[in-house]
Amino acid sequence: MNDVSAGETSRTPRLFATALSLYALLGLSVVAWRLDLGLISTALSLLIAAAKALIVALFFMDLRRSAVSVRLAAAAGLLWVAIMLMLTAADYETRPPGTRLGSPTPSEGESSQPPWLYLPPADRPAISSGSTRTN
Amino acid sequence: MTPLAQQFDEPGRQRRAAMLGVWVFLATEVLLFGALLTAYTVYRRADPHAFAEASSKLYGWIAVLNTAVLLASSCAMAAAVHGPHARARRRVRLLTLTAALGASFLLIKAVEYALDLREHLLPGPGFDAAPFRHPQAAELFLFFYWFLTGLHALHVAGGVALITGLTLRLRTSHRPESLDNLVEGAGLYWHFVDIVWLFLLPLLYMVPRA
Repeated sequence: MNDVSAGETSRTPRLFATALSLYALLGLSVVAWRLDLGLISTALSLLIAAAKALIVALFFMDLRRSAVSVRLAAAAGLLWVAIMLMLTAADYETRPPGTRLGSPTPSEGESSQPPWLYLPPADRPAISSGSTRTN
Repeated sequence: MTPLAQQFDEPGRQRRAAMLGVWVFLATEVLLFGALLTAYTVYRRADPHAFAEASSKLYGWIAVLNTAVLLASSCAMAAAVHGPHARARRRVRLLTLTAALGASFLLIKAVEYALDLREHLLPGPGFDAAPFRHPQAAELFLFFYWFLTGLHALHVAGGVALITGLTLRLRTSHRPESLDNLVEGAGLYWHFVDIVWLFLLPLLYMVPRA
């Protein structure tokens, strides 16, 4: 009984440390957001989110002391999402510029598809600024 | 500890089986949100400027406040699960705090939704295209916003109901330790809901103007 209560009292400071680091990372997210660092800010904010998620999983969900079967179950979800993301990216990121999202080949001239369904051609911004909601 | 079901030799195995079950359920939840976020990524890649423009119309500071509330709720849950099990009353207090913070999250989200509606940001017939340079893509972004945050809010509401029910049972139970596995499983679910929000925050509210 004694060793159990000793283990529990040592958990309270760690809980505070975990909470503190989570709030520090939230502060960092806000700073990165307000600074607006452009292209790297998406990567940075996702990296911070992943760090927060890892802390929650390891310390709050106790994954660092879980059985192997539990760790496998936790990894399986992430693995399948990673496969889905990679195969999806392998498709869309390798299509020729100017391709409709619904078709694997570039469309001829102006299409009747809504402009947001296009991958932008290499020499043109995503959407011509005059686009409207007609049709 | 939880009463031993007949198919288990000892409580440790019963607990491990219960936690594995919760984790497998959470893996299917990862796939649900993962598929939605993959679709979101494809459309955002196709039109980053319009997504950034539409995202800038959302109330980012309310979302930051809500993140702080949800993190506090997760901390309270962790304290309830990992704290001294012998003191059931402490656990009841912490679980009540967890549920109250979860309910606060929903309340704040409801206020945010009301503000969004006032600005006609809901896709559909009432949508106001005027403030957007790319209204179609903006509507698509807002569809993702409403669907993802709505689905998450449903998960939070389910969690609040689950934790409230557990707290009531703990208060009235003569053997509160018999609910240990249930409390721990509910804790895993609650932390997972927190993690989903941690990713929704940068993806929906913090879209950079590329």
